Order: sequence, then structure tokens, then C-alpha cells
Amino acid sequence: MTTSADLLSVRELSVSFAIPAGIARAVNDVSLNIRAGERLALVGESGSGKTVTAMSLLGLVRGATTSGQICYGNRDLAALSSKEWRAVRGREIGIVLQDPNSSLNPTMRVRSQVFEALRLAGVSREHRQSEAVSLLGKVGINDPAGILRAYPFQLSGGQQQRVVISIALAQQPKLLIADEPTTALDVKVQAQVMQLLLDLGEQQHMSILLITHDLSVVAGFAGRVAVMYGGRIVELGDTITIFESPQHPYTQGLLRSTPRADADQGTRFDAIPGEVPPATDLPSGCAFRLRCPFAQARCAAELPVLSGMNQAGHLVACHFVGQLEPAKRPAESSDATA
Amino acid sequence: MPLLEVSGLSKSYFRGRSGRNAHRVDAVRDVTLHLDAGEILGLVGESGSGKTTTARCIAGLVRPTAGSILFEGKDVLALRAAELRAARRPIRMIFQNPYSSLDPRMSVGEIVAEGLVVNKLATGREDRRERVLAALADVGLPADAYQRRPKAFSGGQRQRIAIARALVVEPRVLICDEVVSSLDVSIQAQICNLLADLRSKRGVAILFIAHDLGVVRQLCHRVAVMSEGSIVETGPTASVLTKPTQAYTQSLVAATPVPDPRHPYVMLKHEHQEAQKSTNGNESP
Repeated sequence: MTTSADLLSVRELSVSFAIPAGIARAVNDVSLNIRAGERLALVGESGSGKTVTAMSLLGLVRGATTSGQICYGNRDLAALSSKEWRAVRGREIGIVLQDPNSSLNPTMRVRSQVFEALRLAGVSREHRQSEAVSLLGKVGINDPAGILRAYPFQLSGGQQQRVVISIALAQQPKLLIADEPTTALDVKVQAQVMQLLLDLGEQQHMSILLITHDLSVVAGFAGRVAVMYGGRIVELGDTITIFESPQHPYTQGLLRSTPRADADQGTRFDAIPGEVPPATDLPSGCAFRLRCPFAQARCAAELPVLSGMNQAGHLVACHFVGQLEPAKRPAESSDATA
Repeated sequence: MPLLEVSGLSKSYFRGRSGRNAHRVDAVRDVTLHLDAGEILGLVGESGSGKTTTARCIAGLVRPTAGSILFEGKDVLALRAAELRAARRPIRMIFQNPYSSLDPRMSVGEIVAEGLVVNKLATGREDRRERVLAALADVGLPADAYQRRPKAFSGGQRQRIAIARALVVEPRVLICDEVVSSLDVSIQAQICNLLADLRSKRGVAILFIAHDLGVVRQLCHRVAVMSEGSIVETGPTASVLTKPTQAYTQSLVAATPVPDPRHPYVMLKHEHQEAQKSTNGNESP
């Protein structure tokens, strides 16, 4: 289903790991396309399979049983050898991880780490210093020469993450995977880093796959959202649709449990009961059914297929899609007085 | 009289080796706050603003450099060690990371019972067991959690264990230091509801330290905003977070993302311009 506008498309990707507790089915039959220049968010709670999906796109999943295809251009990345991956990783697809402090080597100055990325990008030795300065300038670092001399521990979390982003950009990837890039940062720094990613993606026509558990971060950033649960995509659509008319009960629950600045003090938090099932022990049928207020016998017997809604590009995996009363926020519901 | 009254609290540390390298870090500067019975006070601020140090001073884990802490009118800092321990019993702290705050070698029953043992609160083995089981039930854990180890529980359940451990000694004040920040949102909501229930059913006061303003808005009656060791603004949650008067609070509120794609916290340049144009257009008649 790769159209010319698609930069990358994932087809029926499944990843499982044999661990002492059994077979962990981390990613199950995920199909997803990333368009050129778009910002797509992959959202879900811990254990939903977001990170394993992203790591598969970088060829960084080891010791797993993998099936499916990752089409990039006319190549299937899933079939590459580890040597062939090296030409793709960093060059075509870049990554920014959650904790900048552990992404950077604490024993090396920033200079060596940025230079290494520039060397891989084919920048000659005499141009590396000037390139590094301009690269750090691009990610909003005020004193590039000073930062290059510093060790990572001498930088703040925000500066570290900017350095990590500059390293990811050194080879001008067409897709940047940002895995919880601001989870370790304070809220003001988070806003700056997300603004930076937004601007860089736009300027360089770079696609960004944002992986996060925080729907608030997604709202201003992504054009489309894919919601994962139990290793599957349960809903996919453009951001406005996902936030304003979510169809999957999990998406609805996730949105309702996200605290809102406009809620009143004393309002009950709208929790989803229960816990995310472990990947070694996913329930039959729909993985969400044990926590779902609408679950029926059919949900246990039959796996709901991700299929289209009226709205173009809006996909939902639920047997009862369209038949569910869109759940209301607690303030509007009848038991608000309780 | 407030249940807990903190005034002029300061805590300084010395960093670096002795001599010329040494310099003083004022982690907490002249913090004054109070907590009434049955009240939830939010303490917000960025990392390094002194929230946790303030909490640790109140919980008695750190001795402040200056200031006083009155609990039920009694200055706890003036007490001797044994009296201090007794006076602190009703003040319990719950920590951020439930993976490091529970001893992996102890059973949940032993973890929760420890406060009873240390404070000699139970009349016997049977009484102790009953109180632990009651505390587990209060936080929504099954009775069979008693003999299991923390390893068997998820992050949210571990935080419930930590809350049970605090509850078993019948505290008046719970100090919750970022207790929901490492949890998934659906679980975070469960734990926040549990804390709200403990307040309304038992009348415990809660000092709720958080960096997520959304959670604070929904849970806390009042909020105190910390920056660089000092409280810069305090007041009822709704007014502080919707009409902040201090520049620092305003910047914090502005940077907080809201789950609404029509009110983005980040914008592309041309969107900025359009947004400004449309507001200008609306203002002009």
C-alpha cells in the first residue's frame, strides 16, 4: 500500500521475544505508513509495543522472532543484514532517545561525539569544526564553540537533548524517530525541544515519528496519531479526529484519564480500571476487553480488525465501532454528583 | 491552627571539596507554608527548585539549616531524637519511584508491617497482621498480596503498597513526592483517586509534590509554586493556575501542553502569524 507520498511503510510487522516467562508478543501485525514530511505520533502506555515498533524501524531489535516488511523506497529493511543496516541507520533514519544523559558518552567531549556523526556523514576533517558549529546553531545552542568543548555532564538536560538532536541531524535523515524525547525534561524545556523538532521537521522536510505516552504532547505536534495497545494499533487517524471523536474505547479512556488544565478541583480522575496485560499473557480476541466497559462475548472470541471509518484515513479496531455511545467526561455524566 | 506550619525553612548544602572550591548551595530558601487537616496542597516547580528538599525536611529525613516546623502546634525541630520519632509518626512520606522504595527481599506484609514494628503500635502478631491486611484493603490490594514480594507487582500496584505502608501507622499528613509521575496516565488516575478518597474518608492532609499542572489542578485545593528554592506564588489552585500573577508561574502554565489540538503549545512560524492575525482581527471592531 506504499503510495508515492509514503516515505516508509510497515506491513504486518510482528515481533516476539522468548523470555523465561514465556513468549512476549511485543508487536502484533502492525501496519503503518509514514508519509514524507509528516509528523506521526505513536501513542500508548508502557508495554504497548511502541518502542519495539520503533526499534524495528532501526534494525535494533535483537534476539527476537520478527515477521513482516518495512518498505523504504524500493527496499525491504526487514530483510537487511546487520552490515546493510549500517547504511540506513543514522543516514536515512535517525533516532533521539528519552534520556539524553545516557545517549551521550560521558567520557567524551561533545566535540568528539558530534564530529563522529559528521565523519559518518562524509564531512571532511577540515570542515568538521565549522559544520559542528552550524549544526549546534541549528538546534538552538547559543554558544556552540563552548558547548563543543564541554563534557555532557556539564550541560543541562535541555542542552544535552539538543546535542543529541544535532547528532541525529548530522546525516540529514529523512525520518527522525523521537522516542519519548522530552519525558526526562522539565515542562518549559519540553516545550522548547518540541518546538525545535517541529521547526526542524518543517524546514528540512523531514518526517518525524514521535513516540510518547503523553497525549498532551501530541496535541500540538503531530498531524496523525496511531494508538497502540497490546502490541497492536487500535486506532489511527488525523490528530483532530482522534482527539475530538475517538472511536476506540481505549483511545476514549486514554483521553479521559489525561488530566486537563480546565478540570475543576475535586473532579474524579477518570481512570481505566485494571492494568495493561503483560505481552506474555495477552487475552484472546481484543487485548483491551478486560478493561473495556463495552466488552461482550464476541470480543473474547474474535480479534477486531483495524478497518476504515467514514472519515478518510480513520481506522479503528473494534467490533462495536460506531455503535458505542461516545463516553462522556465525568463532569457531564449523570453520576457527577456522586 | 493549621495541622502543619512551616516557617522560614532553609536548607543549604556545601558542594565541592573544602577550601576555595567549596560553595554553598541554597536548596531551600525561607519557605513558609501551612497545611490544614484534610487539605491537599500542591507543591509544583521544575527539577532543582527545592520541592523534594522541602519535603524531606518536613518528613524529618533532612535537618533544615534554619526555620521551624510546627506539627499540631509543637515545634518538632526542638525535640530530642526519641521524642522526634514519636512526633513524626503521623507524618509519612511516599516516594517517587516504587521500584526503589520497596525492599525486594521483604514480603509485602513485612514491608507494610515495618511501621507498626518500629513504632510498637501493634498489640501482638495477630493485631499486626489484621492492621496490615486492613491497610492493603484500603488501597485496593487483594489479601493475597500479603505474602508476595514487590517483584510480583506493577508500578501502580507498588505505589499502592507504598501508600499502605504509610497508612498503617494512621498518619495525619502524607507527603507524596511525585508519586504518580512514573505511572501511565490510566494508572495515574487510579492513584490520584485513591489519594482523594483517603483525604475525604480519613481526613488526612496531603502535601502533593508534582510537576504536572494538570494533575495538580484536579487534585489540590491550594498550590505553592517553587522556583530556585523559594515559593514564588501560592493560593487556591484554580486562581493560581488560571490567573497566575507571577512571571514564573505564567511561563510554567504557558509551557504546559494541553490535550487539545486546537490550542497547541508549539506552533509553526506561519501558524503563529496566522494566530496573531486572527486575534488582532477579532480585537479590532
